[in-house]
Amino acid sequence: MIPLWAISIPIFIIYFVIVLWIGYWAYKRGKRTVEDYYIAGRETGPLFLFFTYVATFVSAFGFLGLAGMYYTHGVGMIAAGSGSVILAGLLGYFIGTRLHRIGKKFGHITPSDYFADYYQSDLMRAIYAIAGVMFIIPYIALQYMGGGYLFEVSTGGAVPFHIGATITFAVAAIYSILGGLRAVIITDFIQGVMMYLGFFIAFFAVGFLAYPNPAAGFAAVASVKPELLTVPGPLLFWTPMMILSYYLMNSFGHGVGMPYSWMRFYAAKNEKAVKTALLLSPLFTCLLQYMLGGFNIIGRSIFPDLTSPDTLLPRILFAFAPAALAAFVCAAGFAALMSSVDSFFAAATSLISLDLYGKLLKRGAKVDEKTLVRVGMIFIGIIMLLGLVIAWSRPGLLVMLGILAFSGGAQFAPALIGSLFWKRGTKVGAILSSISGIATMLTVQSLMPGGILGGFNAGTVGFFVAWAVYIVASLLSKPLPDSHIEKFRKAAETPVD
Amino acid sequence: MTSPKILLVNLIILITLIAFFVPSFVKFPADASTFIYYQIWSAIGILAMTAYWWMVTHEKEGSK
Repeated sequence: MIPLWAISIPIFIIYFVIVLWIGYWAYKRGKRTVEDYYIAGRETGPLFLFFTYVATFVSAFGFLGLAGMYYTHGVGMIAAGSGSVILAGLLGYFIGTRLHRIGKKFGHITPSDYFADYYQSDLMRAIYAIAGVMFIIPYIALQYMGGGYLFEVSTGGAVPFHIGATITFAVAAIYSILGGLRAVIITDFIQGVMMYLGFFIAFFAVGFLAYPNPAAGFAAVASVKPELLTVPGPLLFWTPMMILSYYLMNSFGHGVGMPYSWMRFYAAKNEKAVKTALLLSPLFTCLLQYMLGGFNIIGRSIFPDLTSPDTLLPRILFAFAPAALAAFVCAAGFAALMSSVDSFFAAATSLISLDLYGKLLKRGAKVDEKTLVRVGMIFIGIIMLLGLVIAWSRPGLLVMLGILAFSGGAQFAPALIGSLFWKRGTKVGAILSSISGIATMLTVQSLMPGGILGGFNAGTVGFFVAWAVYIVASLLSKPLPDSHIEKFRKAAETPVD
Repeated sequence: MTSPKILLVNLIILITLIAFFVPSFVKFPADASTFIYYQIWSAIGILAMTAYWWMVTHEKEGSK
């Protein structure tokens, strides 16, 4: 009998070679300017922007982490997942179109550029840049963990977790450093298609190979753990407050507020690309929830006592699907996590090299663009190494790590939405609300059991506090000049393409 | 002035977002019912978002 690794590893190698080649191609083609390296020269059309947005949205968190959520907490995850991605698309459309217009007019590259420019505050630039990097690193770690699990399970343990995580790190590092956001966007297109095919195969493998049909699978779950098929689930996790928490954090944080999503609005070639990517995103992300929910809930009846539920999907696949097909789906799992981790690198390094190094540390001094790109390349390496060190320690359920990470982006929602829609929002309000939101989130996460207060998760509690502080502090502080606000309003409402 | 068609699509999206909370308050049987209920609303949400996209990219009134 052919060992599992002999089937899986060649398929993984083919996939890795393809993404590395794209990184090299983008490197040769790149102009080594800041705009080209960090936002792909503002040239991304609707199709590629759609795929890079949705592929970044669905990471190891979607492929492995959500499997654990369905396995543990049941069908309520579909409400939280589907509702939140629809809300993210809608919110992204309203906000993203405006940010695209403003960014193009004023030459913004990072979200910090926008905050510093609108609120006339370098402190706001620093807060967003530091927080952005701080929250991206655990999310990067999460992707390496996903890679480690995939290697471990799909090679029957021949490639252990630590080695798998390190290989994931090395491949993603090389093509991201070489090719910048252009390589990221092209690989995201290929990886998005692969991922979709992979989920589709997995759904049918479980629904029709493990059982005669999906209905029989659900009947089996009903006999083993019926609470998984209803809300709030076996551990009473999916309360209305928790579903609302996911709505808010996934849309305001993951979908808009985190730099890897926000910078897609700047990378867009035109407004049509932004509208297409955002409003059509549920076509991808919602359908994924359907497939994910189906095979992972049914999976509980097949493997009822997994100690690491994040590994459910590859286990099911290798148990029921032909090994080559299962290996292809696992390669799609790599596609899911690589397409996210590359975007996280690009976002984190732009915050460090452009904002912290270029604008704050070297304030007033002229730094040429090639130096900024080189500094970015060095920091990609450092950030990725930090992520790898965290991944090696295997912290908790993947999904919990992910939620805490992107909830950080949601703490900037008051400052962002206020700047676009409320003229009375001020610099003081923006600074205090961001700091208080993050501080509240971290405090609740550390002190409350399960990081839950009043039924809401830590990020949502921070989000509510951030809004309250933004409104009160803005009303008590000096407003921005009317002419300045009007300049931004006009830019936000005037189509630029 | 936003067109009535866009307002209608936005209303459907809003109803979809609220509909996902219904199984939290109404007890569904422990079979595939909740799963199917969510899928129906997911499909409605996807269609509404797609219609919205069509309106704002292909119709002049919605492109502002």
